[in-house]
Amino acid sequence: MRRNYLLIIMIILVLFFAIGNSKESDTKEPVMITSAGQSADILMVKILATKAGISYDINKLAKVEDLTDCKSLIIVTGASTKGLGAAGIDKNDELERINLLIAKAKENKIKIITMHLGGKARRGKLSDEFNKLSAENADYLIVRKSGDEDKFFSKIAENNEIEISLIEKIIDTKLELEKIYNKKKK
Amino acid sequence: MKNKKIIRAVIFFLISIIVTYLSAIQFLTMHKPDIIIPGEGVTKIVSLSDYNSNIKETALDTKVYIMEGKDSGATFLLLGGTHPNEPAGYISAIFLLEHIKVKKGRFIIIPQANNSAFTHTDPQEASPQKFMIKTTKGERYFRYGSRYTSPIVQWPDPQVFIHYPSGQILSGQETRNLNRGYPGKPNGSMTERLAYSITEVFRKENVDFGIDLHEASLEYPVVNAIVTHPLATDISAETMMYSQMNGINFSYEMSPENFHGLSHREWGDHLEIPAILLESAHNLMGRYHGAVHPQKNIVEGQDEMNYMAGQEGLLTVECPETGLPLKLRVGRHITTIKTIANVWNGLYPEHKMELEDVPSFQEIQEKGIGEFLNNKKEKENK
Repeated sequence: MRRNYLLIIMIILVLFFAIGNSKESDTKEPVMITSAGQSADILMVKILATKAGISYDINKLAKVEDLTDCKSLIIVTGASTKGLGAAGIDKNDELERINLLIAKAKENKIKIITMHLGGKARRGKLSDEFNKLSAENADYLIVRKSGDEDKFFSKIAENNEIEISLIEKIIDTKLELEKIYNKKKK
Repeated sequence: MKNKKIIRAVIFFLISIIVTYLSAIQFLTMHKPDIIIPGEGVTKIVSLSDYNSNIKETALDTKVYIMEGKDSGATFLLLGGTHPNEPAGYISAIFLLEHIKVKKGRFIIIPQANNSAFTHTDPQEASPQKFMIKTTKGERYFRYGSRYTSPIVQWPDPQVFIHYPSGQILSGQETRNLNRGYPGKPNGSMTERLAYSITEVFRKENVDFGIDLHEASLEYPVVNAIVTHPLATDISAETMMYSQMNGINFSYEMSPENFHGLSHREWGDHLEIPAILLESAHNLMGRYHGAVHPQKNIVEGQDEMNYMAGQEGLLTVECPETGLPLKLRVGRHITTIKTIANVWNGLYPEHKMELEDVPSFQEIQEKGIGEFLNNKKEKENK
């Protein structure tokens, strides 16, 4: 009898640890990568996603219909007046596009990963309009520390219970992507 | 009474003659070329007019330095001095041709791309005419010029500048800005001929990659930046990431598709060559700087007014109290060029660009620029 109890306890413990260790991210591919603010940082994310082995599509002006075949959305946030001008849009056009994308993603239960990799250069009045919108609606935040010295993103993450990774260097994004998309070698 | 007036008039007339004469002498010193001493890595020196005879025997003609390695590989073209009021651009180019060698590939350097713009300064800017870099063998002076081709060479400016071939309209003064003139015209304005000559170098030398070195004011949105043509995004994005790993931060900008005439746009669009432009931060540019002191502002990179502007949050890049010395700005450019070559080699291992004797950023900060300039017996820049 005692042996049976011990066996049951051991099985429960083994199952407990097994479930704990097998808990993986539920963020799926393929990914749509888009910009919020039209900075060129999206091009770095393209390279990092390739290095991380993620299946993705990239469209800096992605619209709602572009989310049809994707299972997660990466928003690379940060404004560039050159980028907005080159795209022939203004700040309000871009904010509207992002708002619609976020709404659709939430409706379709698509995970949103917001990345801010431009550091201090992609902060400021214009950028922060996009940064706030993209960050508040994210499921994950990946932010370069130099862009969060005032805890702008950390506070958003805390207030909205969003998981945030603060990275030193842009190249560290690759590791974060591998974690999110379960690409890390076991 | 009348005699007194006549004497006074004659005195003032003589004073104005003397002042004019001395000013003219001072102005004409800017027509004397800077001394550039090619290092052992330079295998050939030609003239830009060899690529377009329409600038031969004009003020736009300039030297082209070719550094060819023993082994064949990629060909890079580097421009400095598009804007001679951006010294880190042309001093970096001079640094490279005087110091480094090429092991594989060809590195073509045009250190003073707009030679005419070196012969004058922008009016009403209290602009200095020269600055000095200390070397192990003494002092070397370099001119500090203008953003624009000299009006002696190209005048008058039109009311508006219509870019060829896009038809884009800009302010008339931009007709003398080399970096609004690409791809140029063989028989256009002097500046358009210059731009065309440089694009001919790309064509005739089968250049694989183009780099244009610049500086910008601390309040300009695109400063300490890499500006990339879409063809160069793989190289520039990786360069940015690896530079950041080495402690050199950039902002990353795409070359705007609808802004024509710039090197990074037109080299890519018309020549289908990946191209980037690098900007460092220069205290003497922009509207916040204070009184002008050539050595203090240009070489030591200090300016109290810019520092104060930074404290008020008015600048895009920080201006530390210690300043942004020329060796720091040149160090950024040199280190980034080395990184570009390494990234290129990773992407194109069969067609490499291998540079030798490129000092690290840290070495340049510790030893200064002068240590790496060619300090052998000076020769006239013929």
